[in-house]
Amino acid sequence: MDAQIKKGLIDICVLATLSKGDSYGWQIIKDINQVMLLSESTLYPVLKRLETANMVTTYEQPHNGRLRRYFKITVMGKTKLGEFENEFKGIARVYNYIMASITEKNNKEEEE
Amino acid sequence: MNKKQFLKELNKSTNYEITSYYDELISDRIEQGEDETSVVASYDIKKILKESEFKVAKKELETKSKRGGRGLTVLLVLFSAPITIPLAFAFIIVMLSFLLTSVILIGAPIAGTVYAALSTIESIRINESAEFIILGLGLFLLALAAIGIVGTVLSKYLFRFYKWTLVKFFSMAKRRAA
Repeated sequence: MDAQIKKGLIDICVLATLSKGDSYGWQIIKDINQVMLLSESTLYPVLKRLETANMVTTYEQPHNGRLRRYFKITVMGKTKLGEFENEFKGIARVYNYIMASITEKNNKEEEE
Repeated sequence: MNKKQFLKELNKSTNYEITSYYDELISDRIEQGEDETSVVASYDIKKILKESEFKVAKKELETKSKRGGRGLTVLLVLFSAPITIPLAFAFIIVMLSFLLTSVILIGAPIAGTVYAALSTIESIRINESAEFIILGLGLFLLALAAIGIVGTVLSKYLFRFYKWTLVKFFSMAKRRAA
């Protein structure tokens, strides 16, 4: 995936993952890696940025004799996710246009 | 390298927050059945620092400078001019005096040694009790060497201090101007 497109989508992917329920570092990576390759060192600044922007909050919970840090989506994070949903309608229109143009070009080539 | 050694190494060049983030990730991966050595081997401290800390620090810096706004910066520069201009002069004078001190600390022993050697040769030529003069010269040169060593060590730190101060000063000025 193109780095610029990926950069714009990582924050949304993290928010989408957290919208399903509170989660922790390794679980978030595993969830997102199903659709997009994401390293631990890339996730850290994303979580930090979302926390600074008040889109996620954190809390610690005991787990197997240690403390595990959980991330929780906030109202602001949910609003951001909603905004992306609206933006995506515009993106989908552009995508459909690009795909239709490619199909048209391929059909013309086949006819020739 | 095991987990403990890795975290100790990571903690040397980063903060507690990043170290505990990796502590948790490694613990989770081990808990889910991965081998400790291979988990640790999958992390490169240089890469972590490059991708995690640098970006965070840069973002925080950008956020802080954006918060201030350009208009506010201009106003601050204007209103603080009566204080900042004399301060800038004072800063330049202090820096120059530090530079002069370094030159003296390095130059004085060299000049002193040359002068002592020349004057001793002259004394031996006109004085018969040369043994005492040679002994005195030896002690004098020893003292000069000690001053020279102290001067060199101090000037090294002073040089580092100027460099650090100048870099900070210019980066602050650049940020304000941007």
